[in-house]
Amino acid sequence: MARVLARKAVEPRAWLLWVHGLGVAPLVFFGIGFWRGMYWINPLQVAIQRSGDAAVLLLLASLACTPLSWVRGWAWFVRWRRPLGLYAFAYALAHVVLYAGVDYAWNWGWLGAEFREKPYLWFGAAAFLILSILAVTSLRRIQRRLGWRWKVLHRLVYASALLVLVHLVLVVKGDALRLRGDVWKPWLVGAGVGVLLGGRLLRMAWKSMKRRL
Amino acid sequence: MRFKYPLPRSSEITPEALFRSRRRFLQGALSLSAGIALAACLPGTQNPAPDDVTSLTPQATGSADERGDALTPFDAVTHYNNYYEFSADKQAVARLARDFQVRPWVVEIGGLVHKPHTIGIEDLLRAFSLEERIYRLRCVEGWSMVIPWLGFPLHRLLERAEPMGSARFVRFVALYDPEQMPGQKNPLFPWPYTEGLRLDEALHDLTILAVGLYGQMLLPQNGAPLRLVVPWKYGFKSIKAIVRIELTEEQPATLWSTVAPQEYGFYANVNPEVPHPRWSQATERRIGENERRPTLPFNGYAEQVASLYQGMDLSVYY
Repeated sequence: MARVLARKAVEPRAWLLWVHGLGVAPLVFFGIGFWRGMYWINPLQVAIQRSGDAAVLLLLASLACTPLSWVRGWAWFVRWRRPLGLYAFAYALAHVVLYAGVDYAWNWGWLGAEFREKPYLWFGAAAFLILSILAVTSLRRIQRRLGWRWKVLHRLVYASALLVLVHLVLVVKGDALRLRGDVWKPWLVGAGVGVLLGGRLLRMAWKSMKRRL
Repeated sequence: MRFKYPLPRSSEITPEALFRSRRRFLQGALSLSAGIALAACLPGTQNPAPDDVTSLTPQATGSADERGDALTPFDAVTHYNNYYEFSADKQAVARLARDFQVRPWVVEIGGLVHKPHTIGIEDLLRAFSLEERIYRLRCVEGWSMVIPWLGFPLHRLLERAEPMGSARFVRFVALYDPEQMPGQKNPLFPWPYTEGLRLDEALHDLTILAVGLYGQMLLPQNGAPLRLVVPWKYGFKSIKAIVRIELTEEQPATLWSTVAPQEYGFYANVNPEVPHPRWSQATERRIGENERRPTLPFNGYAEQVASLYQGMDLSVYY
């Protein structure tokens, strides 16, 4: 207990500013680009792609909080998880609304046809569904009511990240597995998810080994 | 087998355009006095000399395609370019391509032809009379434009080279110059960009080699100094900055079908019926419009080209 308190003592006061800065940054960059007239020709295509990118980056940032909190004196990183995760959800929501609502004008006939033909949409939609559930259950009240189940439920965030990775692999121009085409994004995100998920699994294995010894 | 290029409706032709250019004004004035003013606007009847297409103001003789679809603004055409040799960012291409050297430029015509030869771009411009062709351009990403190209039918160049009887395909190769084209430093693509057509597609009158658009020479970002335009196929077939045209017996490998064969076929005909794993081919977004519109079979050129594919299963030969 004393150790936890000692860690908390060094938590920077401005941490909320940093979290919100990180969360709003993609929107600000997009706004600057838009204002400078860089996207006027096909703004929707850019907005859909950038909102997706932002959601993925913030999801990775949120996932990075737990491993970062393992570092001595950095335990406060745990508190970044929720706001960053919610920002990721916000961008994912924008991504979905821009795609289905603005680009396809909620035309269910067109959207249905798209959904039948394009497997990347299945993975994207599944990832979004998980993020939606996690966003709703991140309310403190629900969090308390769920108790230990909350922790298990929120491990689904890793499933969401893996689904997003498949979504990206399928959506880029090229063949990510054969390293052909415009495939740097899925590789970058894959490396990120691999390190973060791998890190957690390794630590779990390490801890259970220590317990047995 | 010759097909007529679909002419713009006479009501869509802007008479002002005639008066913007001195030479066209003189031609137009003569025609007017003869009472055949329209003739001056018809593609093929006016032959601007090469120096005529270097005028600074973008202009086209028509303002819409034969379906009445308005031209995409010049700024959009010249600042939204899918040109991976420079960048995957469509709005960065114009800046990166600004200093691209388009002179001197030599095009090699070879392979299964009786008269293989090389021809400089100036000689090419002198040899073929240019005509304006207003075509829809449909990108596989699901957006489209209407562009007034300046160019000449590819069959004129091929006929001069006299294809051999054994020639069945045409292979196009773009410039490879990573110093000028930074995107070519990306090792994940099998540079140089290559494309191909079946010989009958290449000989079709709708297939042109473009050297200009909007009444002026092509800008580097649009594929200067010489590019292919095949309006009934997805945009990636219309290879830019061509340095070699080769007739072959075997179907040539193309860049995108090498990168992702399950997504990019050799034929790549615009087809709302054949799904694409990533982008909708049933609908498209016309640049400048707010709502998606249905995509037309063969991009609206079915009447002219559908017969080329009779008996072929287009979901197999996509």
